[in-house]
Amino acid sequence: MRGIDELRIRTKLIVITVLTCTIALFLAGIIIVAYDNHVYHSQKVGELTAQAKILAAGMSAPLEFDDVRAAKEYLAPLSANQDIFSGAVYRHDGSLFASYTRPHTRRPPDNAQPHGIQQERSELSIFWPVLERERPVGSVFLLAKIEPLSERIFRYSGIFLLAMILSLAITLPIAMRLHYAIANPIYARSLIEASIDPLVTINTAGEITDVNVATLHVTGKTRDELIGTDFAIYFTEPDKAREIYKQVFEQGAVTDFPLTIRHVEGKQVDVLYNASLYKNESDAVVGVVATARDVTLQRQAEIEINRRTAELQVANHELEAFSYSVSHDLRAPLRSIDGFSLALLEDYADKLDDQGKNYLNRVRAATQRMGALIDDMLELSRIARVEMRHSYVDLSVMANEVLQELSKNDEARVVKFEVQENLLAEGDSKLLRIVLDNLIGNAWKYTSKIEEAHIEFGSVPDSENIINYYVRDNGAGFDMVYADKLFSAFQRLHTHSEFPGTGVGLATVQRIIHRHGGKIYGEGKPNQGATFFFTLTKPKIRGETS
Amino acid sequence: MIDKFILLVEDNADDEALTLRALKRNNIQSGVKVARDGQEALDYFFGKENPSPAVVLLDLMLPKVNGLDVLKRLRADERTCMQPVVILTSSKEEQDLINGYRLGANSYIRKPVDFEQFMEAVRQLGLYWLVTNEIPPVIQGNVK
Repeated sequence: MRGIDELRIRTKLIVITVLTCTIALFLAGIIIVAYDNHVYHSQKVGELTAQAKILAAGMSAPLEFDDVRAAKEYLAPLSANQDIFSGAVYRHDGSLFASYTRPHTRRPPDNAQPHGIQQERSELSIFWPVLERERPVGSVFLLAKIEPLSERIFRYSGIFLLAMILSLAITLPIAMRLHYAIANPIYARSLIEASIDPLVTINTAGEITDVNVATLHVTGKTRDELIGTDFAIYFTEPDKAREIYKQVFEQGAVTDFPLTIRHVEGKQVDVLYNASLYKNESDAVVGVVATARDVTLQRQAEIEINRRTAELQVANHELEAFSYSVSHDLRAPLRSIDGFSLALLEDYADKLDDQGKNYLNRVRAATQRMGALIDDMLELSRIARVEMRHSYVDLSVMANEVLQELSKNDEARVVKFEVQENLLAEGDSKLLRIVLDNLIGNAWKYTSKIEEAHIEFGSVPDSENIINYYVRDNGAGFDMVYADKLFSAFQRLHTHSEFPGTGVGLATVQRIIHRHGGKIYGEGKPNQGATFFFTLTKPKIRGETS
Repeated sequence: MIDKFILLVEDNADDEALTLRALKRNNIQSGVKVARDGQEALDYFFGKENPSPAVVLLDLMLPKVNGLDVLKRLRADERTCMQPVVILTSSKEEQDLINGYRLGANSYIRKPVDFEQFMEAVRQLGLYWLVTNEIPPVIQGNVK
């Protein structure tokens, strides 16, 4: 896969190649054109001057003798030179003596002009004196074609364009090929640096050949200090590190091997070492690429978790010991109180009046109630500690069982049940049974004063992975003002004489539902029944749940 | 006919009195011997040649040697490994139940707070272990 960076480097390289090439050619072109133009101009001037001198030398006699014919004869050979347009001879007074003009070109001027050379666009003209014994007797004129600079530049640019195309055609493929040699190391380095974890390459001799910045940070060394040294010495257990290095060669790779890197300042970093072989273009093993993931934080978290777990275990053991002693030691005196109260009632019945017997019966009732409270409290604490065993539970079947048991124990009552079929759940079946025992038991209890008691168990859809189950009754209900007290242990909304109970049932239910990761809440109105909702995670097996 | 009797291992004097009362009220006439801690119970069996009880009613929370250790020692010894032992305790911790049965208890009874229920439990116990149940001959033979 080619990264954008690599493409950028490629483009840059090509642009640089082309630009350098163009600029070099352009500069060379300017210099060549300027030099060539100079040479050409001076050559033309030289040629024309020489021609004018020859012509002037020949013209002194014709001018002396006023021999126009001879003058024309001298002028005639000018036609041999393609570049000469016209030539002329002037008398000393400046009037035209004789002339030659190539067809379709400009005629010489009618009068002589000051001696010298003049260039006008593509024409070069010269007036040169004709001397007779150092005395001017007239002048000659020559007009020749000269290539103007613009034309020459135009011609040269064509040549340079061709040269450019040619040079690009040669340099581009070379540049394209060369750029890999230049870009690949850059690309490889950027890959090495891109690793957040310390990364080193190690040669077959076990020496470090390259490192990234993260490695410098973790070891506290510089690049130059690291490269060429034995990689193993930077670990707290060099022998172990070498052993792993060997394994890489044997197995091709090593993953998540725990090692510890030592910083020059002594700080140690726990890492998971991952290494694999890497090869060159010809598939030969060059060495090993190794990364070391810093797991210090995970280690610390692990230690912290272990510490807390240990603390929790201690706390749990203490709680267990406490529950044990509560269960044993608190019940023993209660048994004595109840037992001896009964002994009094039985053995001394004749000495007690009705009031006395009534008091003793109250003592007995209170002890029994306290016994029930202790039992429920123990149950509540047991439920918080008991190990959960998850399985699939058919709550519909379970609810029917609970209702049948309640009916069996209270055959006088007529209660209408409505249990939705196939309500599946995933959880601890014993604990979920306690939930239904309590919720349906409550519904049973609080509808005991209703003529047409009605208890319903069903579910309503919640979110995708959650099912909301409910137990509904048309019994005594409750005031929503006290809804927050429903689930607190020993909190009751009814007196014991109205509806017996210890006030631990719903607290127990809440604890179980919370342990299953669910929620529980109640809705109700005084004398219009109550509905208790609890949520559980949808079981992963297929089943009718709505 | 050899007199069958119960060995009650119980440190709580109230519980002892109530148990004895419950037995009496249920017209269980057999004798009852009492050991008031675990060591006393072990001494009874391993100290001198004592007659073996028809059943041991063993509390778990006992001073010196706790009930489960008493049970373990009884089961480990050739002479007492078949001795019927009923655990009679206030605890209903699952762990005690499991350990009790694992160590070879013959039965596990939780003392109810309600004395009437307790009486009923003791009545059934006495009836079962002293009348209905046949004890192994080794123990019977040991009885003097």
